[in-house]
Amino acid sequence: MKKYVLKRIAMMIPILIGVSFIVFTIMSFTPGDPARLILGQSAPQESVNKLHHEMGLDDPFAVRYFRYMKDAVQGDFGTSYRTSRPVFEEIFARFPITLKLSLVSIVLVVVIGIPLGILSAIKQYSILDMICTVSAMLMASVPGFWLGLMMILLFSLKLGWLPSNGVGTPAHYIMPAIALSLPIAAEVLRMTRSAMLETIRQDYIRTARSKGATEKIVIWRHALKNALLPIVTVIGSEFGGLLGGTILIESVFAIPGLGSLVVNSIRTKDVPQVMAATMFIALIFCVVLLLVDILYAFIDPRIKARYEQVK
Amino acid sequence: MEEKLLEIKNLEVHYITETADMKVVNGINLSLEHGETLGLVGETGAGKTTTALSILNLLPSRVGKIKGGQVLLEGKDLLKEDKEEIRQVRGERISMIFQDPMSSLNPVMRVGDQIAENLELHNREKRSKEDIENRVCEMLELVGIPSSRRNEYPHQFSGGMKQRVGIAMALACSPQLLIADEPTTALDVTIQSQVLTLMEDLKKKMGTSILLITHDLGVVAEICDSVAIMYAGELVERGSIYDIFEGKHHHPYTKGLFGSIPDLTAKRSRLTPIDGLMPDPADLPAGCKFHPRCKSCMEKCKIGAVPVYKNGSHKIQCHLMEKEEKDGWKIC
Amino acid sequence: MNKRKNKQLENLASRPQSGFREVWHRLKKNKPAMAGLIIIMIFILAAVFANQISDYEKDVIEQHISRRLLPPSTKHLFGTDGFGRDIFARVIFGARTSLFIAFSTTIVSCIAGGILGSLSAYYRKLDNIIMRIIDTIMCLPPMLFSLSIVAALGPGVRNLVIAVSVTMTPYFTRVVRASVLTIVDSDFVEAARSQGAGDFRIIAKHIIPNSLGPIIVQATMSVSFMIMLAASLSFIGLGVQPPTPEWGAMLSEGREFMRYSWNVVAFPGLAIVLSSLSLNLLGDGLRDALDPKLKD
Repeated sequence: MKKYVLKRIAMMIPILIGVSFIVFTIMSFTPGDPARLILGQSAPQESVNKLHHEMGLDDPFAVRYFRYMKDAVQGDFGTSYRTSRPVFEEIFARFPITLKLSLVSIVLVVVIGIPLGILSAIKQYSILDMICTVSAMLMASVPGFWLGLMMILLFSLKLGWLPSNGVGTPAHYIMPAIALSLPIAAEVLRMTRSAMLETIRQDYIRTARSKGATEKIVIWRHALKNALLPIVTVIGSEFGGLLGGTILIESVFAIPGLGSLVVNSIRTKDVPQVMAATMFIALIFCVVLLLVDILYAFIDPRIKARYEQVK
Repeated sequence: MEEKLLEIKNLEVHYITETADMKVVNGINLSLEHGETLGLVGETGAGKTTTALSILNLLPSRVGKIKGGQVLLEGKDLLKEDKEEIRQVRGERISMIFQDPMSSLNPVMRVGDQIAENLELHNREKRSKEDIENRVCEMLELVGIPSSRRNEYPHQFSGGMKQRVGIAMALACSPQLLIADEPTTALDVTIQSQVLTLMEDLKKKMGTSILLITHDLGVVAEICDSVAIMYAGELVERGSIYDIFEGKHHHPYTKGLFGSIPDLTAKRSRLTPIDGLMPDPADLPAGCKFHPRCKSCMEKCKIGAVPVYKNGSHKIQCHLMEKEEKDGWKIC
Repeated sequence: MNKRKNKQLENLASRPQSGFREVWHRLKKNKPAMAGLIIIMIFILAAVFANQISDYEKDVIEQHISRRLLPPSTKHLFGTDGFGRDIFARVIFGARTSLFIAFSTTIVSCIAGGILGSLSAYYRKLDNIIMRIIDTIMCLPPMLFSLSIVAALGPGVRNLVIAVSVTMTPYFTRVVRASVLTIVDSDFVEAARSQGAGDFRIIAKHIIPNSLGPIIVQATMSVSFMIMLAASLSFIGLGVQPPTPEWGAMLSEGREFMRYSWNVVAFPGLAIVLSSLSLNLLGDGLRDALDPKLKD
């Protein structure tokens, strides 16, 4: 098992390198001269050219990429064009805020999506099931940022109950977390429901009932334990949507987190900052996917056995 | 007269879907004594599994409806019991093992825990954890699996061993009746024989009655005391193993079944299968359900109920038996 | 679009498909799916006949400061926005923009994904490389990926289409690959081959008809996702540029006027929700119709 984990961590490295290559390539298409950006519009062309050369921006693509990777491996991801500070300073300053928001959102997703999904599966075709299914379908079609805007409209502007931007108190996180989590909770609900329905049809459920198990035991010990696998899978993959969503939600609620950092640095064409922030977010996603894979081993012994066969 | 262990009277079960109303079991009368092994034989679709599931009320809830009849366990009608009563019968007085061992065990639960679950659910004697553990080991050894394997998962066992686990699980609380729904159909022939021998041994040791559902007459010959033959939801013939295998008279369907078995010793070069197919449960023929395929079909077979004729322990539901009065056949 | 749905579609791709007529018949019985179909057809019709419904120059582009931020009325069904433009007209023309982007990106991703997926399924060596690249891309949340592409290329409809197409191609590649892999190895193809059918005939008569199902489902769900993605990017200001009407951009513009006039943000958003919902319902219905066993 440990071997599997180590192997997976080792596999993350080429993936991250691949990600860095893709993002670097994309960023290289960015129009505009970074040297000009740094020195400003009014600076003389000569100084711009000089800085351009000094920064090594004359060199061919491959050279620039390797230089970037060489520096990166040593911990130097460059400095922001805008602030001239090391890029990771800003990232680490903003990371805790996005982390808080993401954690609250994930908790909401799990607490809303899974129990309601189980309930609507158990009471299939009941009124509760209909309400859940319809609401989930609706919520999965709602863009999070619009939901955020509507909530601001209602709860901040019309009713004045909740703050509409910034961070500082727990109240500041309520609306952003809800806007972020509801569309994802809807997906999780639908997946939980269909996974439970699928599991309940299995033969071993009939065996459990033939032993005289109560419905509660059938649902929790037999059905849910088996349905957990696809449920955990969907939460893991939806996490990517969560991370993407923070970009929009932080924009709507003016939250100084990683998401708004990405947006702002894209607007100001601050390439090193964009690269670092993007790779950082990709890293987080990769780590989450790895954790999900490891979690599988604890849920399903067949998978654990497969992992243990890895050389 | 000693009370029978299980008596099924006039059981009627329908499967009701959006498109059809299927009459799967049409008035079955069956009984089982204590310690008896009854083989319930028939083709796929005859209604055998449905009958078995009805005993424990395990039919798929949305489509399976018991439309009438009684299932008497030592005199008490199981169909009239409430949920909690049935729950207590299941696993403790009547247990069931299923056809496909691959999918009948919970893949994410240890094998020992699954057997223990049966004991925990019916823990009237208030057994301690240690006692339960011991009983689990005992059951595993009894079915020929080393008790050291109780912490393993189903996927680590072969098909035959999985079925043994199923048997251990079913017999853990020493039930009075074991319903075995085609327990060996999904297994290799060699393993088949092992499992059957095991079931025989256990039956002798624990005095369990067995209701063995199968389409294989060979299996019946090996371990059954009596046989009931089912066709299109009805019981067409019933008797002891000698009545069925060595008796002079049979229902035309039974004759067809025996004729379809390949026999290495016989001089025949071709099998004689029965013409036609079993009728669609949504559209059953009137009168005797077998009449469209029967070579001896008469006019009166096409309409009205068919009487059951009895000769000792042998019962046959066919108009042809009317002629055999001199041999002892009388209407039941 | 997420991995789970993708996986489900990959699984769907490995089952035998049924005839077109039967699928349509089953779909017709699914009321929510038919409702979805009708609603999206209404949107499509509105987009096509936008010019007949309202005048582009007068209602959508021209600014009339005197009639800013009017509430809904008979003259202006959805009211007017911060620049005095009729919101109803803008939503209709916005449908044209959004649906155009969504459908064109779907077609591009479909074709690109189709080619890549089929190549991947046929040639093992190529398969390794392509799947590695796709796995790497999928480590980036789709929003982030398309954002960086649009950031690099610059705003505008053309670049938006490029960005979203590139982001969605991996999903189509996977579905096509799964489809083709299963069909190629399946028994009935082997049977056809043993009867002397050539490769082209096999592809035309067996592989394509059987792969179409999951691809169509994926395409339907993708259109819905792409409407959202395009709206999201435009919302940040990196997609469609003013004054071109697009639902996401309208939300962004309307933000500052939100406190005075709720209809400025409500209606464009509702348009996104309705179009997305109808496509999701239709996609779900198609998936159920293609393989009834997958249903509850």
